[in-house]
Amino acid sequence: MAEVQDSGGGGKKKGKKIRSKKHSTHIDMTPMVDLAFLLLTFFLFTTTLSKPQTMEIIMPDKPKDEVDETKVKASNALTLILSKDNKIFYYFGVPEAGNLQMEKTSFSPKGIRKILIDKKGEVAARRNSKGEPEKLTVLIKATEAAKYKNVVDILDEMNINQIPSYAIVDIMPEEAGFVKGLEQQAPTN
Amino acid sequence: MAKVKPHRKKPTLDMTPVVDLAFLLVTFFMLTAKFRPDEPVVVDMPSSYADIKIPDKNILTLTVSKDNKVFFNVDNKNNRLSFISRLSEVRGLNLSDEEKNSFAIMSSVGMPFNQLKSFLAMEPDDRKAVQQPGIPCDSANNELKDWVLYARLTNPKLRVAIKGDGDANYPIIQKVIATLQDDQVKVNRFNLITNLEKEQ
Repeated sequence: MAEVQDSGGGGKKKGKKIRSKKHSTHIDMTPMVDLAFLLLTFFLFTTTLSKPQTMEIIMPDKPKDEVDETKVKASNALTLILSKDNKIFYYFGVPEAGNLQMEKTSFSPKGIRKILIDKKGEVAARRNSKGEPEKLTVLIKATEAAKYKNVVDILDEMNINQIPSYAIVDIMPEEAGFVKGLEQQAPTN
Repeated sequence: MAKVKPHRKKPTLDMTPVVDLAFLLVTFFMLTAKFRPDEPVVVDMPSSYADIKIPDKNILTLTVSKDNKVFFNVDNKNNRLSFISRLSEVRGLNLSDEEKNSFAIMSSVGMPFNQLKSFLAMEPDDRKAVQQPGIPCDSANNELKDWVLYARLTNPKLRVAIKGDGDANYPIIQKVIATLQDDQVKVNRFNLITNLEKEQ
């Protein structure tokens, strides 16, 4: 500690110099580290690391009239009807009035995926008039009981199986009625 | 001979580099962190294998909740402000500047036009307690169309994203999509926000 030395009336100074005592310049950093890591942990937990993924969908422009509508070749068409409780009904080709036939399947690799792969292969084996492979067209129709998740799942399935063309279409009243009938027939499973 | 005494020293560690590192990381996370404004609804998104990342600018989010309500959100405070001014003018909502400002700093909104003014006039804390009814998007009373239309008119670069709950019923999503494809709105390209599916 510095002391004030009163000079005793011109008396000779003592030889010793007064030095301020040396302090070590070390600061204890531990609390600071604690704080820093506390903040670090806080920000780590509050940041969302993964940005959500997105599926891009491009819908066709609304057809103005019948002429604008894209026609699908019956043999290349597969219609999937999404129903309640994650069920899928499907049929090939175009529906015949009064004679709808549908099969039931589910969202599983053995269910819908197998059907898509089989049908895709079958269609691709055929050649069109230009000698190019035919392309499978999948029509996706959702009933009122379907959940949004079902639609996302089926679109995902299209991407996984690389189905060249698919479309989300409004369900026809006959089909909706038919599916409803099927469900009432077999309430279980 | 004097014995060599081991020089006793406290085992101090120089913490300075640790502090440096820690604060560097803190700064990094502080600058990258984006605080999410609280959303009026919790949405459990379905998962998919899609791996496109959603852009973080110029995005218009339509949230569809589990109970089939539609909420509207656009990013960027300035865009929100000019958007709400325009909407207020066109729809004759008579919003005051204060109400417009409170819209600009909010997150998703799901209020019909006739309740919007009183909703925006509330204190932020009271607003949280309000159960928002969602934006009407029926064909008879399609307010969602105006929301999307004027948002896109104020910022033509906006991309539309639908953030739906997996348990939302499909008809409501269908209505939203139909609204987007309306002759005036004409959004044929949009995104569905999903979570990344875990490999099994």
